[in-house]
Amino acid sequence: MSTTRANYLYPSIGMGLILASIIFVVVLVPRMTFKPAKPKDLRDYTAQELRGRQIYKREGCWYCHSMVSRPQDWDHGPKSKSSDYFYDEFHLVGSERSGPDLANIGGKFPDQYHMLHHQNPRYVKPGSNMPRFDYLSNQELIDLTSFIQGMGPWGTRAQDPETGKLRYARLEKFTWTTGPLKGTEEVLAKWNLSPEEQEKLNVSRYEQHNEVPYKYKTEIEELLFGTSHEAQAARGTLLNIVDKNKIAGVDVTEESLEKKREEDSTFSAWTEKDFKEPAVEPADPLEVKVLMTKRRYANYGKGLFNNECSACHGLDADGHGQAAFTMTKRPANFWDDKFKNYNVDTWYWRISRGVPSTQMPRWEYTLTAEQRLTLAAFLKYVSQNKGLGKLKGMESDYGKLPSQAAPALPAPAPSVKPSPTLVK
Amino acid sequence: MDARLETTFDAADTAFESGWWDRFLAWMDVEHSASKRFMISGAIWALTGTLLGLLAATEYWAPDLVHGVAQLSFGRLRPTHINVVAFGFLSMSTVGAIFYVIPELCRTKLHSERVGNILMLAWNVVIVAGIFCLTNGITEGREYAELPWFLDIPMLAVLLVYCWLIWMTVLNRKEKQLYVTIWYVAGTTMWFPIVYFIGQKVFFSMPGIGDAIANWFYGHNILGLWFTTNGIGLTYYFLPKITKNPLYSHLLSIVGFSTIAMFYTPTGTHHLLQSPVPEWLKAVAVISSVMLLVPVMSVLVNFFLTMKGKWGMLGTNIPLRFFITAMWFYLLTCFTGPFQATRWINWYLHFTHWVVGHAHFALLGTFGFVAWGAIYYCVPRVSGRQWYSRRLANAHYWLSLVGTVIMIVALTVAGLIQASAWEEGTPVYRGVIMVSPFMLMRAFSGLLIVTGQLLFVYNVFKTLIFVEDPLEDPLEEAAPATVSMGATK
Repeated sequence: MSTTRANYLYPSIGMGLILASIIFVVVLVPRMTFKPAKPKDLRDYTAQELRGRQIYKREGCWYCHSMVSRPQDWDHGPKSKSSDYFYDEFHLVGSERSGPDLANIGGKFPDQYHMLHHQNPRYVKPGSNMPRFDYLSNQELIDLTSFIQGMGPWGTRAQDPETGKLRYARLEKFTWTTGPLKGTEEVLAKWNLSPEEQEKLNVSRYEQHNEVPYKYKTEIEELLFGTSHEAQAARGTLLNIVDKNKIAGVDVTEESLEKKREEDSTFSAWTEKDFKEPAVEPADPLEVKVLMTKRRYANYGKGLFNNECSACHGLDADGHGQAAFTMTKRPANFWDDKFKNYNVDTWYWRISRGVPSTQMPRWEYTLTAEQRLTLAAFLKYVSQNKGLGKLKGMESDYGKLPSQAAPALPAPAPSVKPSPTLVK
Repeated sequence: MDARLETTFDAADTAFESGWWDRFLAWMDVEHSASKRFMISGAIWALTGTLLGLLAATEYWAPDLVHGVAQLSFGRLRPTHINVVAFGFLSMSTVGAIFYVIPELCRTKLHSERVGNILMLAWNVVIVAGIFCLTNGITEGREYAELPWFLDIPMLAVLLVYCWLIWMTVLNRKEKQLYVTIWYVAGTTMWFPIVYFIGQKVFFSMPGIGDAIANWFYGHNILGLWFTTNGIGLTYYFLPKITKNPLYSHLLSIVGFSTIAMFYTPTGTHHLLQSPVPEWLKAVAVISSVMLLVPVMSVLVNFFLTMKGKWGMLGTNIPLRFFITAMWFYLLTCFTGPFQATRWINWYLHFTHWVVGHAHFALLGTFGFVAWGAIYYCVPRVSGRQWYSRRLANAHYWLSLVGTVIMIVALTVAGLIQASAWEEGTPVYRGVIMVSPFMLMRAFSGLLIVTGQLLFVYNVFKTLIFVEDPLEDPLEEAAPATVSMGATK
């Protein structure tokens, strides 16, 4: 079609009007009508947090860490509300998630964990591909950490709508203002304490926090015996792990397995009974099956442990991780006799809640209930067998240790060998 | 070389005897010089931008490679890469081509060569300053709008002057008819400053999460109402011109033009579908995103039917090959785009590498190829010189094509892996470790693309700056007289 005498004026005016009305609707109308209310449960940023936010923006953290918790994000805490952004001047919502969402990050990890993580993420997360921010000054690292710890319902900015006080106790009190943080002198000084002083430190650490983990006991029971959709789905995955266990040359019929399950419920087999390896390998196929199931299960937890925990607790779970001596309080050695008597509830609770006053994170926000349960199984296995036992060298279903292992720290090894100090 | 060009070169030569200011003015007054210099800048920024991208991609895979240097950390390289590629390479190359195409279509000269050259200088200054600011952490932290406010203002001024220049050229035209390319380009000059104005915090500010609405209104429309309309407008000129086929349908071209402005404008909020912004705004964004199929399909049907009987030219004509490749990428981009903007697919794919792949599909695969093709077509016409080497151009094409395809495949697969890992309950950072091999693949594809750009810039320099005679055949051969494939009439 070709018009020989076209009038361009009216179509142009018409298109201009359409465009103007669309812009009016999608930009100006939201600007006039969309005004989220001032949140009651969130306070404004402090000057330090604002400085931290500026660093967060400047270093481009938001390119990889989104700051909006969506309805489908099971592990990121509550869904973000529009009022959560009330105090934000420049939005940092982000468009990609190459790292975890940070809308609810506050309070999940201890401060010192963040400080280490910012300097070199591989110190605490082997395999992470986050850049090192070792060029930031101490003060900048502290500001950044204070901003990050403010985010979300467990963060320092969350306040009780009625009393105006913090809603959740913090894992660790934020005490550093300035000082030699990047160097390891201060940390090493703490490591060089006399054994008595170390023990005193540990006693206080365990005595302060002896709350009873009732909440988690019911959570585990729900997971193992509950009828909810989640519990059944979790059991389905557990069964998959069990059923993948093929034993060469051993004939286990489905009926006999089912019978065994009924009498001591495969799932409670490892919660109630111990994980100690027998002195001699059993000959009864059913016994073998149960044993292999336990090993397989603990081994799944080992894969998780390698990825999430080994940086601090060590690949052998003996507390000799590469990042261990950067910490003011030493990571636990799971070979310790003390841990032998921990039941599954206690393990589950420790893993979920973290250990206050140390750098142990709250894993309930990062790992699924089922994953934490396998981790508990692994820790039970390690503590009862004083080491990895038969799991050593066994490939885990969770995944191998990532290729980028934790880098060695530049500082010299501590003079006091971190041997377990027992606290009864 | 034709006589018209010779006289302008003589004018420049005689100016050498006068003072530096006169020489500068003469340097700015040479006909087609603005177009040429815009395209040279575009080529240099193509190399710089892809190099920055390659470095960022490598760091993503090997995070300990560079450390302790703030300017080279991933979080600063990424915005620098995006801004250099978007405002430097794509924008400057297309504007250079427009400065050649619009006067041709109007049968006149560019209204003011001098203003064009000043624009070129100002534009380059903004980008150099932008690289300095972004690598040194002076940023607004809003995607595609990272440039600080003191660069936003000159950028808007540059866009307004560009608008004035194009309109003066169009209004003083000798040709009465307005071909569809002029519609696209002249329309873009009008609406893009508005979009840019709304997108910059210094001009237009919304509180709280509303800032994200304004940001993504701009962030998506820099694609839809700047790169797309410019790139499609140019392709409307080049395809019939190269193939010597008439445009298949002028009606379809008008349908495509009028619907693109209507349906592209409200789509921005589809980047925020699971964020706490008004639901009605999301609905508008999703509907208009799906409706984008109308302009896209009308444009592509028009292009591919214009190619009727001339597909054989792809073997011999390198600029045409770039345009047609771009249009195939455009087809794939715009087929996935509307679907991934719908709520349930977005629910699954949002925040993954799929989206990054999609962005490269559109900007590198489609408009990058249009920009390269436009430079290959226009350079001999604005300089009167044939390309230095056909072989280098060919190598550039294949390296870019293979690199782009590998990159898109890697990012798309990585995105699907991430999405399914999250669904399964795997922690986010484990998902990142899972896709690490694909990130290596992406870095490798970046290496191919950067190599292509090196050859390209070398070719441009040999042709335009060191002025060496062509080694081989010209890039284009005349349209075959007989219809080679798929002939119906």
